[in-house]
Amino acid sequence: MKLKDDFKKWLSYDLDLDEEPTMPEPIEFDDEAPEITIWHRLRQQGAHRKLYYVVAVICSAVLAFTLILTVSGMPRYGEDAEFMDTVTYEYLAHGMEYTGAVNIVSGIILEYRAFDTLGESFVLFCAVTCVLVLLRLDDEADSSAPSYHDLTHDIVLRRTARAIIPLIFVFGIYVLLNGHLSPGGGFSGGAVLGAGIILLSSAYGEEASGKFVTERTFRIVTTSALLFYCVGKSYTFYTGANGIETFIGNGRPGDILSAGLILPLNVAVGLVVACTMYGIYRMFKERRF
Amino acid sequence: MTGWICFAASAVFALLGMASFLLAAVGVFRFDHVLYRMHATAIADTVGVACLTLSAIIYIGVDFVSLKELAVLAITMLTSPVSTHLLAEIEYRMGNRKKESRPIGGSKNDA
Repeated sequence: MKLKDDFKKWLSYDLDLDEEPTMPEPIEFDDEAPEITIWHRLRQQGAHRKLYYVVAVICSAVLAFTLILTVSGMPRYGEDAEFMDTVTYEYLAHGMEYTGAVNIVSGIILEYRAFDTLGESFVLFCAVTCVLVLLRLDDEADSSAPSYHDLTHDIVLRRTARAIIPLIFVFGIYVLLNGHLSPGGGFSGGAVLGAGIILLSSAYGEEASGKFVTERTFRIVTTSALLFYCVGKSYTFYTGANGIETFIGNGRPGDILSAGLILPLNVAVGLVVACTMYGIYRMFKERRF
Repeated sequence: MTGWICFAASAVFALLGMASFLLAAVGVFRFDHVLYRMHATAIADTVGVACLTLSAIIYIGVDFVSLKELAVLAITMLTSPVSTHLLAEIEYRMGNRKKESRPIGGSKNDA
C-alpha cells in the first residue's frame, strides 16, 4: 500500500527524496586542496619509487612485444594450422564421439580437463571463504546502521525487477541445462542465476532472496556440489584409466540426457558459481550472510 | 529497390547510433559533475544501443536472428535506464552535490 502511495506521489513530483531522517551528514570535500599530478608525486618520491615505474614500463613493453611476436607467428585465418596444435585437431575430430557433447567446449572443460574445472570451482569456494573470514561482523554488531545502498524502497527498481527476474532465472536454467548442446555451461549459467538472485536481493530485500539462498543452504549446496564433482570425476577417471565398464553412457549426441556426466557436472558448477556470486555480494554489502 | 531502401534506413540508424555514442563520449569528457556525465552516458545506453540494434534488424530483415535482436533491444531498454536511475539516486543520496569534480584529463583552466 505504501508502495502505491509512493508511486502516486512520485508521479505527481511530491515524493520527497530528502525524507531520510536517519541518513548521516553529507561528506564535505575540501575544494581548495592543491591539485596533485603524477609529476608532483614522482618528484616527491624516492629513487626506488622511480625505479619501480621504470621497471614496470620495461616489463610491460617486453611482454607486449613478446605477445605481438607470438601472434604474428601464428598462421593466418583460414590457413592450415595443423603444425601449430595437434591437440586441437584431436579434440575437433574425436571430441563428440568420445564425450558425447555437441558443444565441444563443454566436452573439453568437463571431460578432457575436468581436474582444471574442479580446481576453478575450488578457487571460487576459497574466494568466498576468504571474504567470509575477512569481512564477517560479529552477531552482536550493530547492523541497523543506515545504508546508502539500500534500494528496496525504490519503485522503479521493484517494478522492473518483478518483470525481469523470471526471465533471468529461466534463461540461467536454460544455459545451465543446455551446456552440452549449445554455447553456455556451468560458469555462464551460474553467473546468470547469481545475478538474478542479486537483483532479487537488492530489489526486495533479504527476505525474498532468503527463500533461495541462506547461509545454511549455501553451505549445503556448495559442499555437496563440490563433493559430487570429486566423486563422479574420480569414478570416471578410475574406470577409464583401468578400462572398466561403467554404467554411464554417452547417449546419442544432441539429446538433452546425453554426454555422460557433463550435464550433472554443469549443474554442480553452476550452483557453486551462483552461490559464490551471491555470497560475495552479501558479504560486501551487509558484512554478514 | 526495397533492398536499397532497407540499406539506407539501416545506414541512417547506424549513423544516428554512432552519433549518440560520440555525443556521450564528448559529454563524459566535457561535463564536470557526476550527474551531468551520467546524463551524457545515458544517451548512449538508450538511444545509441536502440539505434544500432534497429539498424542491424533492418539490415538482416525478418529472421530468427532479428527476433533475437528484438529481445536484446527489449531487455536493454528495460534494464539500462533503471541502472542509470539507481546510480543517480545513490549519487543524490550521498549528498555530494557541492563538489564539482574536474574533467578527466583536463586542467583547472578547462573547467
